[in-house]
Amino acid sequence: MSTREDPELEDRLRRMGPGPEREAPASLYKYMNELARGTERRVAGVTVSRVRPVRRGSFGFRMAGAALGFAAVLLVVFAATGLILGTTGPRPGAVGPPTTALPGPTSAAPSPTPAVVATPESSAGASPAATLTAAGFTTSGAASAWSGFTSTPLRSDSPMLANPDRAGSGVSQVLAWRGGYVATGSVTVFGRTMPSFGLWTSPDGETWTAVTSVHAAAVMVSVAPVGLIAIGMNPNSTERATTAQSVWTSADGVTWHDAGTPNLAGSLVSIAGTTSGLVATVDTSAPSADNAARPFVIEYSTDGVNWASESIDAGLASAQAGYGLPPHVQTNDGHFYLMGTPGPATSSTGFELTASVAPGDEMWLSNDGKTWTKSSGGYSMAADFIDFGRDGMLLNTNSTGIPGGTGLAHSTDGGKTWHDDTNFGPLGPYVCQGECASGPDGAIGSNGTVFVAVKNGGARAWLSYDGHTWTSISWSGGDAVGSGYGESGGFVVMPRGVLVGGVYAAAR
Amino acid sequence: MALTEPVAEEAAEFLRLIGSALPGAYNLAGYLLGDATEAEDATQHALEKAWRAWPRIRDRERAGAWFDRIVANVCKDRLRERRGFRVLPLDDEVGESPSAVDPFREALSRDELGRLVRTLPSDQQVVVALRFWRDLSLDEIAERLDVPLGTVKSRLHYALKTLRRQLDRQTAEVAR
Repeated sequence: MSTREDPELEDRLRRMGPGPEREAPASLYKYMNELARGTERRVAGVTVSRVRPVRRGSFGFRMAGAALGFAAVLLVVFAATGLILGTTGPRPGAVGPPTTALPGPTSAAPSPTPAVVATPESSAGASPAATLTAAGFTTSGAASAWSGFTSTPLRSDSPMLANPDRAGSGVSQVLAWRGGYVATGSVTVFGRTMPSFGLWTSPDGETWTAVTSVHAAAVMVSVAPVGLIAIGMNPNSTERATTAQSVWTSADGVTWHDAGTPNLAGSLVSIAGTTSGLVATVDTSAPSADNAARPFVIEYSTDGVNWASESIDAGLASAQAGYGLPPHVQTNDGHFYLMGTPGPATSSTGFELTASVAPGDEMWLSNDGKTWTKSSGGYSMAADFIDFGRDGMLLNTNSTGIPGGTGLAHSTDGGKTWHDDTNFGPLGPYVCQGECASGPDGAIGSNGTVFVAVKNGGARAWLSYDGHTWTSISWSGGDAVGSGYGESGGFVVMPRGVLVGGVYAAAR
Repeated sequence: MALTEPVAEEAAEFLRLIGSALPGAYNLAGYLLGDATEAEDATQHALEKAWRAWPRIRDRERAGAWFDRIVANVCKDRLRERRGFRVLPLDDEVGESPSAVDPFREALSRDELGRLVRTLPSDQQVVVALRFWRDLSLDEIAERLDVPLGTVKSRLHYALKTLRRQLDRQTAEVAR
């Protein structure tokens, strides 16, 4: 029998088909987790009890037994399938509601080789301190005295690569907390998102454990007065303002409680917090609104569930519309940083931010998330996001003239003043012919302690603590430029190395 | 008896492998049963069966296909049970709010062919769903259903033949 014995009928049947695969209901993932992690399960007639502690986290990050019991296996899962991490606030480009459509191409089975496992060299002598600052945002032990990197190519189908064809893939957010780490985001396995694995914890930046009790297609995580808070989103296609959101809280990073549904005014764009409060930027636009018409509000909360709109210093420039960046908030060392373009004050929202454009793009600073002071600026393009280091800050700016063009500015006074760095640290500008986007000839990022710069095509890397003074360090192994960095845009400085395009380079 | 680490690893592997297969399996159930709620229930039932059988599974890298088979069998049982009861019209929205559109029912009701598929024997419905709505090859279908390739070809052949005959009959009736 031919597989096309009745082409007209077969085509008609195919047209009835589902098209993009529908995501399975969250209740099924929840049930699956309950099955696998229930207090009791019956196997071959024998009742067995819950996983008991195997070992205890040694860095003040209390990883109780149940989680650690899964660590070894899930490390492989994590390494092979990727995780979502950021520094201290999600980057706008990476944290918007990911597409709900399940990934297009079905990738092969993930590599069995843990890609994010630091080499013995990198882990030796790099024990994180258990210090907790008042802000809870230290990255103690995340990086110190790195002398070089050894890179390992990732498989082309690794979900750690930021691939737009794979919903939720790639690494976008890492949070250091109480000497340990929390990572957020959905993970792709076999080309399918795994909402249950949207949140990860690690006591040392090497071994990661999935928090399977958090169910969402994408997750943002932040320090909060309660400890940690995760907001999960189950985006519904283009309906930004109606995205389903849930809140989970944790006092210890191990046990997470479903705290209910947040009363945010719309779809969460970014969230950042300290031990005193939380600030979120929220997209209140109607479904399918374009960038030019997207209104944003700033909201404040202490518990992550009950939010109220913030009134930022008014009297600034009028709202502008056009190409730009969604406003977002970050925190570091107990301070809030808010970037966006002010719009007109309204009675209903208090203060409204439109899509960020330059000129007029602004930055505000706050110590408590409620009283804001405008930065003196000094950067010449729209503020995008900040990379924080031990002794300074780097502001990544965005050109509105040519989409994709980027700039850089540094600050050593806590963001009060900035200075453009047209040379992009040690990298130099990318040289192109004709009208093309400006930007660094490589990539720069930080993990909260050190800044790392990696040169395109040269297998060269530099280290800095203030973003201004750079030291050349070695790079061995595969060259990052051949890994598709330019296409995937992925560059994340991890606690123990860097993820750049298609390679993971472990620090030593 | 404490749950040992190997068992914990089994749980993690179950979450990873079956979790990755869950969307596809749910969609298979949805198109076989034509109802999202029932698909969710059937998939949950299949999860329970899969978890119970998990310790005996050796070739776990093919767990996705294995789970599809469980879902297909659960759905076939439900389809058989339906035969003794009523046949719910695909456009039956009685008792539902206008906004509660079932995506599977909606997709199957777009074409009269959808209703006709649901009149096929359940074994043939499964093959049609896997072939045209999961876009699997005949070999992949045989693997999922654990039946010989010839059986898959045969079921598909008879399914298409039946559907063509019914469509032609309807066309003739309309022409009269």
